[in-house]
Amino acid sequence: MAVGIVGWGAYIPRYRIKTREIAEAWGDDALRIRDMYLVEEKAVGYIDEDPVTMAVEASRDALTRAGIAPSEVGAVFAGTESKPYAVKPISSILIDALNLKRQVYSVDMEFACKAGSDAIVNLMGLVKSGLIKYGIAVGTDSSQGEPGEHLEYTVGTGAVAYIIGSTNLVAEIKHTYPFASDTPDFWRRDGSPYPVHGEGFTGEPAYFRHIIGAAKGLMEELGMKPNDFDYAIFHQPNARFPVRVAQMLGFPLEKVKPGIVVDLIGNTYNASALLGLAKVLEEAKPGSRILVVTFGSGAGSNAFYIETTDLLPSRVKLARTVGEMLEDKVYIDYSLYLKYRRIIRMIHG
Amino acid sequence: MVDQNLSVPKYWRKIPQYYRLTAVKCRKCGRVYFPPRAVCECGSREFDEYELPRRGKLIEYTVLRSVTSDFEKQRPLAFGIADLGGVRVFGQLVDCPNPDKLGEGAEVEVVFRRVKEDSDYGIIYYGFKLRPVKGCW
Amino acid sequence: MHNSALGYINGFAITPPGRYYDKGYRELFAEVALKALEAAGNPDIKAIYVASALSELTGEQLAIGNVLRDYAGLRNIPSIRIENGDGSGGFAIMTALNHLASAGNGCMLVVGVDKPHEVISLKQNKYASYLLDSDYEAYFGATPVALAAIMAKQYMRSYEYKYEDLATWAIKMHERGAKNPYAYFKRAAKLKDVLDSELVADPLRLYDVSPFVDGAAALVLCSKPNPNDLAIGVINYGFGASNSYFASRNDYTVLSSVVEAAKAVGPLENFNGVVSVHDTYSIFGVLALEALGLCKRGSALRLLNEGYFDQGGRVMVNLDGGLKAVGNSMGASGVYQMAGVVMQLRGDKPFNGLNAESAMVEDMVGVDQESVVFTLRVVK
Repeated sequence: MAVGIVGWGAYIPRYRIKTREIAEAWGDDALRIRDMYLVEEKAVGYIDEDPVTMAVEASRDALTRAGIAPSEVGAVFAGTESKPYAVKPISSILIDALNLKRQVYSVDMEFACKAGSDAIVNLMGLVKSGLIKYGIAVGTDSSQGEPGEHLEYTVGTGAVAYIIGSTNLVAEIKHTYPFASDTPDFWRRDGSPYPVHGEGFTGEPAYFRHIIGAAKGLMEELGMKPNDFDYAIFHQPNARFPVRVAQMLGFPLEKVKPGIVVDLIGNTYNASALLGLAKVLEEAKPGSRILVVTFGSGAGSNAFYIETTDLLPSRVKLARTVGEMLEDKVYIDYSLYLKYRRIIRMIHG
Repeated sequence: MVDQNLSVPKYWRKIPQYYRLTAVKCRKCGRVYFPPRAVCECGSREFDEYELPRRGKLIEYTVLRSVTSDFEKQRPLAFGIADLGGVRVFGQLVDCPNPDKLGEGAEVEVVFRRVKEDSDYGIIYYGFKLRPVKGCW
Repeated sequence: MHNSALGYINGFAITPPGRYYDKGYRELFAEVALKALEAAGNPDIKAIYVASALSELTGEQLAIGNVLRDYAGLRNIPSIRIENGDGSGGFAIMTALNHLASAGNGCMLVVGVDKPHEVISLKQNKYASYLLDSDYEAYFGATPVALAAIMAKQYMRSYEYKYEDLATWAIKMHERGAKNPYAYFKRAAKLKDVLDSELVADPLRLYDVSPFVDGAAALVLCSKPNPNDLAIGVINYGFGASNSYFASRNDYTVLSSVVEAAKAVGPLENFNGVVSVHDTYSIFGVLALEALGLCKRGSALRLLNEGYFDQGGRVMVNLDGGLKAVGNSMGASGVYQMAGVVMQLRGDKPFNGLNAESAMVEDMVGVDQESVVFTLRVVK
C-alpha cells in the first residue's frame, strides 16, 4: 500500500523583525550575527497567536488542499515543544476547531523539533494498518528565545500540517529512517521559560551526527545516492547548518536552496524542515524525488524519501502558499516584538 | 487555590460558535442566524447547523483604545463588522496596523486566535477573529 | 388631560454627581430618598423601586433593598431592585407607574443609585462591556463605545458630516453644564479642547464620552398631585427594543429601540418643550433626536449646529448638559434625567424663565438594546 501526503497547509505569521534590529538593542555586531546564522529576519506571531492558533490555520489549509471532509480524519497528532498548556492537548482543540468527529486518535508529541515528523511516521503506520483512513500531522511552534541570548536571533514562529493517507496522494512517502541517541545539546527544564543550549555542542555531536546518520541510513537501505534526488531538505536552526550538512552528504547547493525558509522566518522548530517541504511542494514537478531529514535536540532525526505525483500541481493554489506568506509581511521594532511575544514580564494578562 | 476569574462552561458550550462560526439555518425559510436563536422570524423553531464561510467583506471598523481589564495588555483593539455570505458578524480585526488604509469592502478572512486568558494559570479562551487579506499597511 | 396622567411627580431629589469616595450605596440612597419624601410631604409609600446597574459589581451587594431601607429608616415597605443596565432608571419609573396603575392610588418611591467609582477605570470598562452581548460581543473585548464609534462613523459617512460637526454636541453640553450646579463638568469646552482630546474609539474622543459618576436621584410618584405644589404628570410612556446582536442590525445609523418607543408613545413631530436624551456618547444624543421623530434622519447634526435645539427654540434639548455634562451614573442616569426635566418644567434654578409646559425623556439601555420614552406635562 502506498502511503503519503494527501494535502498540506502552512502558516507563517504576518509580523517580522530584522535580526539587525535585535542586534542593535543588545549592542551586538549585526553583520557578525548575520554571518553566523544567515538569518535576515524572522516571523513573529501577534500577541494572540500561539502554537494552537497556528496549528488550526495550517490544518484548515491542509484539509482544503486534500479536498477531504473533516469527518474522514481518524487521527490528529500535534508535534510541538512550546505548548501553551503544559497539561492539556493542542490536538483536542484541533478536533473542535476543525470539526473532526469524536472518534479520532489524538495526542500531542514532544521530541524537541522532531515531533512533527514523528507524527507523520506514526500516522503512516495507522494508515498502513488500516486503523484510519486519513490522519493530520502538525508541526507547530512559537518557541522561546531568552532576550539577549543568541537563540533570540533565530527563533521564529510557524506551523505546518500534512494530511497522511493512502489515496489521492500528492506525494508518496516511500521510505523512512530514524536515528536517535541521548545527546543533551539543547533542552528546556520543566517550568523554565527559556531553553538552554550547548552552543558548539549543538553542531557536530548533535545536528550533524544525527542528520547524517539518518540520511545515510536511508540512502543505504534504498541503494540511493544524492544524485538520485531532486531536492534535499534539512532541519533549519539557521541557514548555515542545512547548507553545510548538504555539502557533507554531497548534495549541491541548488538542491538544498528551494527548501530553505529559515533565512526569512527564523527557526520554526517543529515546522522547520516540514515548512521547507511545503515550499518545495509548491514548485516541484510530478515525479520529483525529495529527501527530508528532520532533527530534534536531545537528539534524533527522521529521514524521509518522498516522491511527488501527478496530482500535486493542481493542489498548490487551493490554499495560502508558503511563497505568498513569505512575501506578506509587516516589520516591527524590538519593543513591539517584546510586547507581541509577551516577553515583558506582566503581573497579569 | 488558583483563583479562576473566567468561567470554563461559559466558554466551552460556545466552542462551535467561537471556533467555527457555527450558525443556524431555518429549515422552513432558510434564514441564517449568527449568533444562533431559538425561534426564527418566520416562527419556526427548527434549525440546522450551518458554518459561515471564512471569507467575506469588511463593512466597518473602529480602534478601541480604552479597553477592559481583561484586555489591558492587548490594547489597542481593532473591531470590525464583516459580511460573511450575507450574515453580519462582529469580531476583532487583527494583523492590520493601519486599518485606515483599507479600501471599502476590503476582503477579510476568518482566523483562529487567542482571545484572552485567566492570568498565568487559568483557562485560555480561543475564538475567531477577522483579518484583512491585504492592504492595511 | 388633567386626569389622564399615569402618575405625578410629587417630590424629587438629586445628589450632585461626583466621585463619592466617602459615601457608599446606602449613604447616597438615604440622602435623596429622604429629601424626595420630604418634598412630597412624607406620604405613605407602597413600594421602593431601586434602579441600580452595579450594586453587586462595584458594591458587592445583592438584595440591596433591605440594606438601603434599613439605613434610611423606611420600615415595612417592599423593595424591588430594577436592573436594566444604564437604562435601569427609566425601567424603574415605568415599573413604578405600572404598580401605581394597578394599585389605583398611593405613592411609589423610585431611587436610582450607582457607584462606578468603587473600582478602577479598567474595571468600569469591563462592567460597561456587560451591557453588550456577553457571549458574542464582550467576549471579544468590545465595550459600548466601540459600537457607538461604528455608528458615528457610518452616520457621518452616510450624511457627509465632519467630526467638527459632531464635536458641537460636547461643546453645547459643556456650555450648559457650566450653568448647572448639578453638573459634574462645570467647565465650558472649546472646539480645540474636543479636537485635542484623546481618541477613545475613532472617531469618538474623550469629549464624546459621558464620564462615569457616582450618584443618586429619587422621585416620589403618586396617583394624585400634591395640592400644595405644581402638578407635573407623566402622561405616557412607550417601550421599544432592537436586535441584541449589534452586527445583525444592518443599519448602524438609527436607534431602532428609540424609534419603536417613540412610536408607542404617540406622534411627537409637533412636540414642543424640553427634551432629555440619554447621550452616553455624543452620537447617541444626535441619533436619539432623529429616532424620536423630532427631525428627519440625517438632519439632527445640522440642526444642532444651527442652534435649533437650543434654549428658546420649540424643542430644547438637554438643558442640564445631558449625561455628557451631568455624568453617567449608570442605573441612576434615567432618574437624573427625569428629575432634570421636572426642574425645567418647574422653572427651578438655573432653569427659571423657561416657561416650558411639556417634556420628554428618552432612556436607553446600552447600545440601542431597549428604550423607554416618557412624556410629561405641567397639569393645570
